[in-house]
Amino acid sequence: MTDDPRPDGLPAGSDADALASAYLDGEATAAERATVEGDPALLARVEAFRRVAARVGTPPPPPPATVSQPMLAAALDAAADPGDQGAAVPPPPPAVQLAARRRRRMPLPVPAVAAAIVVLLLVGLGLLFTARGDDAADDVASGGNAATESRSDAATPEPGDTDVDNAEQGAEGPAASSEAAAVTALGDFPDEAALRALLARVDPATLEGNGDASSPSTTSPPADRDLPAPTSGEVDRCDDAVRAQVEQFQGRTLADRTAVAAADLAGRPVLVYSHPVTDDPGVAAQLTVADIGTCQILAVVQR
Amino acid sequence: MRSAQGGDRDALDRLLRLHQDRIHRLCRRLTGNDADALDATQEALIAVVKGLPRFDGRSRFSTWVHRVATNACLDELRRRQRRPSLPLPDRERADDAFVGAGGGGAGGGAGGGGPGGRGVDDEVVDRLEVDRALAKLPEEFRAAVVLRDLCRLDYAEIAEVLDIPPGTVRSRISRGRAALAAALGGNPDHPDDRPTARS
Repeated sequence: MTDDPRPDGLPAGSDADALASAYLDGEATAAERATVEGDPALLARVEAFRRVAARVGTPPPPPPATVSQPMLAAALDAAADPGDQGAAVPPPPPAVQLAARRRRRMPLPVPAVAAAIVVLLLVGLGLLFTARGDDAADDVASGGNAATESRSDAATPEPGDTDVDNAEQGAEGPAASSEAAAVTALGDFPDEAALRALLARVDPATLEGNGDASSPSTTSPPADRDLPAPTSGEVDRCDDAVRAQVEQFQGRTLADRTAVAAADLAGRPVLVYSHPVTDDPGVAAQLTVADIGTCQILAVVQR
Repeated sequence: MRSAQGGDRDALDRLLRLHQDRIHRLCRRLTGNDADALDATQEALIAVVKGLPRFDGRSRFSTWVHRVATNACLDELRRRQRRPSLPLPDRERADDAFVGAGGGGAGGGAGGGGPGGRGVDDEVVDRLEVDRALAKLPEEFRAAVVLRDLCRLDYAEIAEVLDIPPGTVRSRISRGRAALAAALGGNPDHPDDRPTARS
């Protein structure tokens, strides 16, 4: 009863196991049933298999309605799509709203991932123990000017005021707005709380609407330490790199950024970009956290 | 089902709702984690919708759905093997969330033992153990065992779903169970696990 080729790591089946298994499933012949019932060892094997079957057969809990409903909706939408009727298993639509539940896998280069893991473990610890940025306004006022002045004239905000306002708003607004954001790729953040803590402190969404969307603003972070403000070259270079990575790994073309913020994460400078999302009706914008030095994406949040 | 085949959206909605949970259960067991299970479930639902007009009724509808879902799950597994993935700690956390959302646990979370019997923690641990044991099985064996023990299909239906002879089904199930018994028998704390069998 071993008509399968023997797979790696799986022992060849025995006739006793085949008998016990078929007996358990009610698939044994009368003669086989008699054989099993007359052999205590076989009956013990049946019981062992029964326990295995019970554990495998314990149904996993269903997904919450917040997940299952959008899945149904996406499937129903597929019915309305007249194309691709011949596909046996068509690819999923891009707009499946699973983001609130899970973080989409976004493969990154292995060396970058390894480096980011180390750094972000430190970041997570740092976020737990660092101050809440009550003194951020001073840093913002100085660093913000440095950053914005280095950008194009069109992006130049009123000196100081805007950034300070943003920082003050950041104490309330960013936290609230990041609550509504769906973490779609935690990247290498140690946990979602660490990522949200970052977004609560430095959230480019708070900049949106404060300026001309066609002239993205740049601000500095409510940093814990004095870090050199990113140059416009660094901001643009990483923006290009971020968009390239997103296109490669998410298959999504991001529009021009609407805002970018720099942040100090335990002494490690990062940039948080906000890009509008135009190809997904369920997502307005995507926040992308990237390392300034390598421009590698560290996390992605959609809102 | 006929109405759904005819394009009745409400009928299709009811049909999908009827099968969504069982598709998810199958995919959850086959893929071994919530994220891939949901992806596979989504693809299976879409495949059902796309393939429904071509369903000719030669097999039971539920058997056909299982076949579509199994293929979607196996495709998802193969895709997963081809792509690099970040070591995200989402499985246990997602499991916890699902226990809270759908497992009947009051308040949710893996918050220890419930009143009487095994607690949520135990259930999660048990599920993870079974996931790990199943993950060690080759896909074709895993599918046969899951279709039998979780979906309660008989050997003939499993043969149809997997497109293999019934004798092969019997072999795969018995060998799969034997491997699972060996893998799961190592937990002396589990009440169901006792290495009593010897043959």
